[in-house]
Amino acid sequence: MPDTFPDLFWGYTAIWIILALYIWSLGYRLSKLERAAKQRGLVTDERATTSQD
Amino acid sequence: MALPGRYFRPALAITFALVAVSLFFVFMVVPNERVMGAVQRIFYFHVAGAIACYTAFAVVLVASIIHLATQSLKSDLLSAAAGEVGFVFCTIVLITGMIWGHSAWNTWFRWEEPRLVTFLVLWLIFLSFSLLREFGDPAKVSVHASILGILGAASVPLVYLSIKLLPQSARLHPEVLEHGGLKHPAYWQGFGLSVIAMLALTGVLTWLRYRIGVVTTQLNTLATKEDSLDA
Repeated sequence: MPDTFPDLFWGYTAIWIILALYIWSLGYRLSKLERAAKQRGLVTDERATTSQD
Repeated sequence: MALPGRYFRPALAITFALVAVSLFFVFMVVPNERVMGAVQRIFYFHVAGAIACYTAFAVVLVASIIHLATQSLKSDLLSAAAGEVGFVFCTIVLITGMIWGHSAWNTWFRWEEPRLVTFLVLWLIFLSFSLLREFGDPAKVSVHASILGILGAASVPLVYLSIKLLPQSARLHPEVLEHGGLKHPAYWQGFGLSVIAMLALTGVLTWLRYRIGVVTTQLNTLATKEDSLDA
């Protein structure tokens, strides 16, 4: 049986790189938005916004 | 960073624990597969990722229908969040599938295989969905994205059933679950844990992305009020 461990390694590396990049981008975007909201004196509460429904 | 809601931290902790446990199980408990060897372990997160992405797209479908019917802001924000997270998992499935395919079949991608092609089309639809959300006309984007989201989610059954278009002998993509694979109990347990972990991760990421939508909407509302006062 050929050694397939390198393929397994690259497969899981791809998963964790994609997830790490995405989680980092979510954190970065949220921090940036909350700083902007704080500068404008906004209360960043989910209930405040979605009460527009 | 103010995390969304007081239940978010416990949910995040549980999700990380589930992922850690499933990884431990997949690498330390599940036996090596007889034919493919170590690379078969990609199966657990490849298929679990596909289930997570289909679930996210199902959320897009329901939220988009609700938004079109009621113009609900919450459902629009949820559709955007689930669509983006689903696209990320779709990317994971595509890339892990190609790596596994290269190992198992000595080919990265085969255009004759309907499962691979329809899945690529699904990926392209949700790439378009994310780009539309980002760059579309703000006055119309929610409606346009809802329609695209419904069409994209409606293609998921096609992806699943496409494998049946070819005769058994011509199929490349395996049907492990449908044909009674995973005979060893540890295979099923590892698979179950991976699915639960990936679904939990989908939920937590969607929740975080939804929060981004909420804060963005608050800022846009404030900007609109300031503009109307200036005018």
